[in-house]
Amino acid sequence: MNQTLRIWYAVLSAMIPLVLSMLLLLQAHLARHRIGRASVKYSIDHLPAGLMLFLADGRIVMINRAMNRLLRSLTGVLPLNGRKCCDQLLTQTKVRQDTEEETNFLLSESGRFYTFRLSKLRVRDTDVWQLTAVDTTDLHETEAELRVQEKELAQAQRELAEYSAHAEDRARNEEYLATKMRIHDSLGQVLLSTRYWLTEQNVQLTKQELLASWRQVMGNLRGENTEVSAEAEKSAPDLQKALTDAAKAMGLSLTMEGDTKSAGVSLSRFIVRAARICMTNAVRHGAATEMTISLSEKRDGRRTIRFANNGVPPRDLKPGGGLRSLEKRAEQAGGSVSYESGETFAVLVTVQEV
Amino acid sequence: MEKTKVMIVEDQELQRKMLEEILTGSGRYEVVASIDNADLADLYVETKEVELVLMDIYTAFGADGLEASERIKEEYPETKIMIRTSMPESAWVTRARAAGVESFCYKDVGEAAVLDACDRTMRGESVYPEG
Repeated sequence: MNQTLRIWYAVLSAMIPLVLSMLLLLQAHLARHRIGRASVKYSIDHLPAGLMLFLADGRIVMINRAMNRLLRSLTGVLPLNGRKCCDQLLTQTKVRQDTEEETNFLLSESGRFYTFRLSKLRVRDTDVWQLTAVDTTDLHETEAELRVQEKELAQAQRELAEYSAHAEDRARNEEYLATKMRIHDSLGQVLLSTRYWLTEQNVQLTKQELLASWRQVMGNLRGENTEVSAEAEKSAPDLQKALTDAAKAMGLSLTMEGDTKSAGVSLSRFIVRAARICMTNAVRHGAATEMTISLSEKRDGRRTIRFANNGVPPRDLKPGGGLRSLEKRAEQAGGSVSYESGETFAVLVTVQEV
Repeated sequence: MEKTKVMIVEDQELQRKMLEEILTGSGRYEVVASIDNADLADLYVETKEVELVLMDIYTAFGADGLEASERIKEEYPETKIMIRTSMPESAWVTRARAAGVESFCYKDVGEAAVLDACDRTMRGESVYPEG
């Protein structure tokens, strides 16, 4: 009998703590999955935003971990009184907005920006103050970037307005100057040719050719000439030759595609200026030895010129002074510049052809 | 004696050939480039090590010799420039001086005067019209 009792005693001694432990574990498990004060506090403590509730006299009803950490960092002390904490924060902020219902203010801590909101709640006939803090660093940085971009846009708009206001005058002055230059140049040329013909021996120019030049010039002065004379056509600048020779001087072999002869004076000048920049960059930065310039057909009043080279493509294209001035010129001509970077590097310029 | 490397920028072919003959015939100058478009001038200045540029103002496709001169003086200040024009525009003389262009001459001068202006420019003188 004694032995039996001893056995029962031993079993019960072992089982009771085990059962009690199991009961405690079960209770804890149930508590975690039952909504109660503990589970609510647990959830609030793990919010990324800061939250504090306090009464009118400052007594803190509830404060979560995020707010606790933030207030300790900003005030330098443990938050013991909600009212005093808020008053101190409000003296520190430089950005504040008050409405009837709430006060919003901005503070920074450890390089991050926090938007605080202080508002009053009514809970069971008691005024309770709520302070929240949300990390709005990304929003703040985006807003700052937007402000910079707005300034740049406003400046660009002002420049465009100024340019447009004077565009007509500028075009008229340029045309006037170009006409004056053409007449003066052709008159000067024929005068010099005449003197050369009169004073030098063994001149190749014939009397008939000289007279034809004089007739052309007088026609220009009287505004009679609308067609290009045979002489003028013969001496018209050769875009392809000019660019090929320049490329050769730089050690570049140049191929030109498209009908460059159909390009007017303005477009030809644009092509030359763009080619100068592209050839210089291709040789200096890409060690190129070959370049291809392709001129597209006119479509909807636009032409595209493609400058491709066999040099080393840039790893990270940051347009320098030359390409930036090209972009500006293209925009002024109603066009744009884009870049192709893959096995070969190419600059594509689209312009409005008048 | 080492010859001075010269580039001619002139859109009128006859003018260009005249200048080439005058300069080469003097024995003091070597014409390393002779082009009709001022917009391409600075490419040649760099690649041909040009010491003196004879620059017309109105060149092929309306390229502006004064603008090209301003660019050259900014990038290659050692290169000397002599502007040649048939148009006595005082504004151009002012602009040429401001850009640092060494000399400014009118085209209606004879061979001797052209060579004299070039020689004086290379000696460091500044040859500009009076008045």
